[in-house]
Amino acid sequence: MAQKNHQRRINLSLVLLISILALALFALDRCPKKRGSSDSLTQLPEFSARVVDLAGLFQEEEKMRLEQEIEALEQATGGQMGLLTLPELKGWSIEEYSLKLAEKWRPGNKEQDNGAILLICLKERELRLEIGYGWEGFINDARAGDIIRAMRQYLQNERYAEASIYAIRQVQAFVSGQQPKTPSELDADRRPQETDGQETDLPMIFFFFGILGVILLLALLNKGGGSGFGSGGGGGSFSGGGMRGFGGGTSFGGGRGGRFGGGGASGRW
Amino acid sequence: MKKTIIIIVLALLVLLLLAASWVISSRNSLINQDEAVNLQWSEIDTQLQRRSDLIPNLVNTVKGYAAHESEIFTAVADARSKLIGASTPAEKAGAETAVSSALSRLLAIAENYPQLKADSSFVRLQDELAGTENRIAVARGRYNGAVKNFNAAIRMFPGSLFAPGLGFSPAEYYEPPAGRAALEQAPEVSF
Repeated sequence: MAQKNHQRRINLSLVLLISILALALFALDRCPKKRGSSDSLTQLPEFSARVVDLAGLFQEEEKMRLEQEIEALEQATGGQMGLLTLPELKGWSIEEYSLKLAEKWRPGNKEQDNGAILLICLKERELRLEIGYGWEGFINDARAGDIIRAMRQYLQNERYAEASIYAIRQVQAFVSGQQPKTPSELDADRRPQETDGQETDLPMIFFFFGILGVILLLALLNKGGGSGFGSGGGGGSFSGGGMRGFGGGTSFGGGRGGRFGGGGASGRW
Repeated sequence: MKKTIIIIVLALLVLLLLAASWVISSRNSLINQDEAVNLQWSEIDTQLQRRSDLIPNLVNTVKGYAAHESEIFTAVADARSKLIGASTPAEKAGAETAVSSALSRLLAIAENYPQLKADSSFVRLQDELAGTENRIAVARGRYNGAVKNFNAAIRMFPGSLFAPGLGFSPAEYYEPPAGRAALEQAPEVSF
């Protein structure tokens, strides 16, 4: 009797072992393949703020003003814009760099591709305005070229902040079809919203993490059976965004995924 | 004894389900990659067409200031018609090189005519041209990336199992037969 039970137990564990192995192999195979990170991408700066001033072109107040202008653009257009200043390009062509940057930062949401990036490189004295697919209709290459050319006079006099403000406002004007607000109007807009933003942030964060936990749990449970999970070479639809709708207009970083096709214009000063 | 049999049968069923699921998703993945290649190819086509459409306008603007430079106008027209006649990726890449270099020369010639350079429609056409060249470069890069993924997938296991059944064969890269460097050289737009 004991012999039979013992035998049964061995059979059971064998079957279990094989099933687990099979499950593991299957899960491994269906795991979304990690996109190979090329060296170039690791060198690109993070989209840590609307204005990333690596070349040190802006004073603190200027940077704040630029952030304000971009925020106003975001509110007026529903899209996103980033500004990066680089000390030097290190051999990259500005078009290549700008596109790789746009593919990393992905301003704009993925339904509308409504984003733009202004890139200023100090050493080479080159700049580029990269326009996302969704905004190409509003800002064709010629208009982008006009903006770049108009910036030259400011840049040649080292008035980098003014040049950038001009660009941001022009982008907004083209996309929204309206004249951007004046600085004092912008200040008036900001004040009431700031406090609202602070208050509603915290509960939303908890809510968000709760949902995230549930989704992760479901994903882990489903890994064995879903034929759609990970097919087509790494879907990655759960992008880092999804924090949209947090608090007031001062929030940054949500709902990205905008795509770029190489539209825009470059220039030198 | 009966219990063990049931368990073994169940385990086999699970394994079978897993195998079927794996077959389906592998095959679908391959199909997706093929579609990605097609999509990126049509993007290249679109941008090449776009540049083709810009050329007549550009040529006319230059002619307005430099009518006697007939040789370059002929060269551009020839290169353009060759591109329209090309069909395979390799053919198109080769024809595109010819168009690119003809346009480069046209713009170089335009440098000698300051009034042309100051003409606002010429300037904006240059913007459009540069933008389109950039888009072609981007589309080309993405197409070749998709081709690389696809070709690797149909050669590796498990894709190699399904590829013949689906009629998939390796896709062509978008590269001219020779002189890739010439392809990289987009017409210069200097202000």
